Amino acid sequence: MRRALIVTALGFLSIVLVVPLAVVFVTAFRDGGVPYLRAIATPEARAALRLTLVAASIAVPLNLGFGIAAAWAIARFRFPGRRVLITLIDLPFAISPVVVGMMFVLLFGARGYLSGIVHAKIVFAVPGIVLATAFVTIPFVARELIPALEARGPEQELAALTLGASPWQTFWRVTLPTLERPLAYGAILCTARAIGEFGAVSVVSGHIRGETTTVPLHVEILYNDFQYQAAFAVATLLVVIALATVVGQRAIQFRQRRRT
Amino acid sequence: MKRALPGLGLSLGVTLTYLGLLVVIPLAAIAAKTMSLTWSQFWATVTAPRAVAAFELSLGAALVAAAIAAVFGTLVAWVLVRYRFAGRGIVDALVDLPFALPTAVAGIALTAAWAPTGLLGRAVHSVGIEGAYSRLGIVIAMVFLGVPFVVRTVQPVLAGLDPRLEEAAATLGATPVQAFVRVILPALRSAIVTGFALAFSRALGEYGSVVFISGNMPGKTEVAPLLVMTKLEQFDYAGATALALVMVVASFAILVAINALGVRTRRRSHQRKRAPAPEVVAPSAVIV
Amino acid sequence: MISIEHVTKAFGELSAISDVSLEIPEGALVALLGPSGSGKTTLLRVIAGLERAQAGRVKLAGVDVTDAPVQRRGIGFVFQDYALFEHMSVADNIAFGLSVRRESPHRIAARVRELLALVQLADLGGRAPRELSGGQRQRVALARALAPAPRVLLLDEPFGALDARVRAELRGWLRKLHDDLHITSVFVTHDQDEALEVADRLVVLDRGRIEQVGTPAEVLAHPASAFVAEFLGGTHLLRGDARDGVARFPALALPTSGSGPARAFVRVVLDHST
Repeated sequence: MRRALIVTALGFLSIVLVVPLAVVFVTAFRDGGVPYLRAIATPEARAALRLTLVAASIAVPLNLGFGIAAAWAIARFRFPGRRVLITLIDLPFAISPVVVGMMFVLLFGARGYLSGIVHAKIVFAVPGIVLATAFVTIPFVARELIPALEARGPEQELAALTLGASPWQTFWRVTLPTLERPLAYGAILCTARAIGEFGAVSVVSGHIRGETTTVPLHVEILYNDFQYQAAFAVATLLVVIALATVVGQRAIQFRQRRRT
Repeated sequence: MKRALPGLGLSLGVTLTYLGLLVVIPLAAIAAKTMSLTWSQFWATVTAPRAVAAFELSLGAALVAAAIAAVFGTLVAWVLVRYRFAGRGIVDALVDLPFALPTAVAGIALTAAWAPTGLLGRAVHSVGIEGAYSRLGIVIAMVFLGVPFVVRTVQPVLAGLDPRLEEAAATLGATPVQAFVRVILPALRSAIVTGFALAFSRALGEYGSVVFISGNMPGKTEVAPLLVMTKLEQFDYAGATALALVMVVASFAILVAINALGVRTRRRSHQRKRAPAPEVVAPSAVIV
Repeated sequence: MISIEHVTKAFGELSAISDVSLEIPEGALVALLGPSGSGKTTLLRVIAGLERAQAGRVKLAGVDVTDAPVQRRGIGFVFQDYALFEHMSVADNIAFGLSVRRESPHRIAARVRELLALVQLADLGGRAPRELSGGQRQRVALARALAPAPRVLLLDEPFGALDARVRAELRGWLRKLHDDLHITSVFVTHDQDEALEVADRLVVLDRGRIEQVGTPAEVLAHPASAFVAEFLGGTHLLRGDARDGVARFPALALPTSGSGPARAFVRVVLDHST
């Protein structure tokens, strides 16, 4: 019985997860190592990588800051509308990425609602991609921090206040240090998502090769062009990042468990 | 009434401003755009045959996929929690992968695997079933994304179960199967339902992994997000917005339901320190 | 030293303390005693500034601190579960109140050493809080609260989380500490034996109101209300003398440490055996 269950479970996972991933690598290296390297080093690929990193390096710190502020307000206080706020923070999870992209097009597109106020080029340009990326990664840090703060309770912060610490001193010396792990966790998830976002960015970018394609979009372009080997080659980069994400999470958990 | 603990004003201010700018205003844009349609225009758009087919397909496929994910996800959670075997840690880490993987990569990987020429596609093709470019393909992609939700929601609850409950059942004469159905499953029910709801919600809005494997054939394999994308590409913004509004309202409703369910499960999972497997990260890591 | 004037505090619909007035003289060791829900912890937290009263004033050394934030009241607070900073060492915990005042490292180190010696944890400065026993953590919490030389020391059920033997030890030790330092101290307890043994004066509370204020002897011998009589009920106060390891009372001799005048609190319990 036991063995049957294990085999079934593993079999299921292999079919659903493992085989598709294996296919990525097999196809990427189908023609050997040199075409692989060439595919990931093209100017478009490198531009895509640059853009992806730019978007991530803006979106992630923004949402780290937001996550800390939101977690503090939600975990430490009760106020009317708190539940609504929690749901609002979760909303980016629930909205289809195509809709996300569309919202920004409606705002900043050629005849968008804010196009009269904001004269810079937002959609079909880098800022739009940054906005879309920031939107979809909003919940990640907050959702890690809120339970962590709630689990600990405010006693340590109150103790610091009784000892004469100012609110900022309390925050820097007592609150933040205990949030290292959830922050790292949230940052990793946030980054992985920011790098991998596809649907929302797809709508907002206009697919202008070399200018507004991120790495996932570049993969799509190659694939639709029937350049399968190149598409999968670039895809392996993303798979490696995903694996690094999972390993990073495990590492943090492992260190945490050893310390407690 | 001033509180002893400082920082509410600043933190709440930052939070509300950020959300207001980045979330509320864009959502308002959708609402506003929809208002630009008359009611009959709106209704015509969302009830057009193609749209109805897309909604039905999205709903149906997501339900089926979430159900499959619920069953097999619970099985995987069971195996990971109850049994020791070589490579268990790796398998456990593997479950997190669909969370971390960009959907575009998942999309092309699944398509390649399930296409008639692919490893798995070949196998089902020989039995006369289409893998990729069919409704089955859509369901497969949704299952791929949904399984981790179920596993990660069920795992901590399962790990935290009091073993004495099963011992009691055994002393009372229950077989392992009876104990499972009548003692364990009820205790897991809330977690499984939450996992199902999360998988369902995710599958509804999914774009990246579905767009490649579906073949995007109107009326047959066109899910709602794909139809919205098509309308955008044709510059039919009003039409796209109408469909999008329906989707947003549905998402919001499901989200509220999940939160009502999930509050209990999440609070419990963070109080369980005995879980042998990693904590519930799942609900946080949704990648589309 | 501490003046509480007509203080009322409610949490939503629930009134925790109503129109409570109290004077605590300088250097006293006062126990706030009562059953759960009596408002004793709320009163302590209002004095500390961890809660804000809806009505009434709180004055420390004559200065009205009702609207002053916690960090400016100059109080030391020992929390029920100690609230030690888990990510800092014992020494850093104790030093915290001084380091936020930007005292010189030299002076901080000296003070930390002084306090570690005072609470008899001299070699444990480098440890992390989770490596210590409950009783040790309690003493670290105390040392930390005392480090910035507060004018008032407030303790919330300081011995609640400890086992009976450690509790007994620490009670005597807290009393001695107070006698040495003469710092105005208020502690909350629901344990009447603790209050009777340690405190100079008792404040007995029930459902948000003060039932009686007095010395242990007064409260025992002359309860002001039926509640006080019942709550502290069944305990008799005997006076005697301790010498050579034995405390002698009329018709009763008990082993003890130390010498001098002694008190015994005796409770009669009937065995329900037929």
